[in-house]
Amino acid sequence: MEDNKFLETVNGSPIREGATPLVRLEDLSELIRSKRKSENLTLELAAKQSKVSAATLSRLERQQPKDKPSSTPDMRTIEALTRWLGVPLERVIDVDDEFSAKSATKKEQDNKPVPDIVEAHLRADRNLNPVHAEALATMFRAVYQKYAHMDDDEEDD
Amino acid sequence: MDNKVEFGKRNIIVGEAKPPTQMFLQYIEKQATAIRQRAQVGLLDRLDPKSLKKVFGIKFVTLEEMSNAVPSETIDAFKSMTAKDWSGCGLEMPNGTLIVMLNPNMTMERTNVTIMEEISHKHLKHQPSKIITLPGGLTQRVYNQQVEQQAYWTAGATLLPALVIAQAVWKRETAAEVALKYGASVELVEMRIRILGFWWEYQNNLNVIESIGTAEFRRS
Repeated sequence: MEDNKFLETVNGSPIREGATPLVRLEDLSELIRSKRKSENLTLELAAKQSKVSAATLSRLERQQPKDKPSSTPDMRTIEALTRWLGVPLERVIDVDDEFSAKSATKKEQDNKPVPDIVEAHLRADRNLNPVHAEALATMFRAVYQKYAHMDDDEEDD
Repeated sequence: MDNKVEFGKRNIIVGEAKPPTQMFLQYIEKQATAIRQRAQVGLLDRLDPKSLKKVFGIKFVTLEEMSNAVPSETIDAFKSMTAKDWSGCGLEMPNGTLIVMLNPNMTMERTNVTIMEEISHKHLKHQPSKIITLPGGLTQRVYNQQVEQQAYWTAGATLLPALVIAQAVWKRETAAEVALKYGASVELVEMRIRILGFWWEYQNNLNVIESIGTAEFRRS
């Protein structure tokens, strides 16, 4: 993902600028076309099987990378399509492995707020009440600040 | 992999946990053995997860260390958490060190398995929980139940190797005795007995112990 700039938050969750390329529309388009072709399915039959309208299928099949973000299907449609196509959700959605070392290093270089991502995780945890989620988010922000630049030989007692 | 998307919540669940296959169980036992080998701990020895910090590049962060870096309300909220609220979290730093923070109010047994879960994630090279940004910009967490199950089962198998469980059942020991010896919870020991297929024999042992007493029934 090229653009990771955080603009604002909704309920504490960061929103990314330029978030739309996350659904890989070209891949989705290709998968739908291939399935229809290999199984010799009409749009109507494919729509019946996938529970996604023929118009949406047709539009997705013709999807081009330059198309506007407004043409991106919603999550229900993506989920229905991946079920029908028999592929994992991650096959058509870019998942950003925010916590991997490589990613974290990149974030560090780019000065990106990894603690914001941790906060999103904590707020998503249904076992946590908001006070505890807030405390943990504050704690991890401080921990990250303190230890992100730690050298190997500083590591522990 | 099955996909399950939960709408209206901020979690997306991929890879739903499934009943384990024989192959999965073998994989778990193999990985648990590998972790013990990496840590140079024998198969019958009690394993202290905290002693693995050097081997696995872990830094345990304590509340005391952080007391000057966060407001006192944060420390208070942290201290007020029960074991049910939150167990712990691992966060990989840019240099590869795994920072682990634990709920200070957990029992030693729960702490041990929580640390082992984090170590298992690292050993199994799991991609940590992921974040995706949906069309429209809302960030959601991707929670992989299969990965969590793998880590938990590997943690259990590392703390309580198959050999330990098999030997304990043969000796007609109770789960409570094994738990005490290996720093695990009784529930975890019982789970391991079930997973390894000794449950019927174990239950039978318990019934006999109840009727004729422990000392006469023991094997050495």
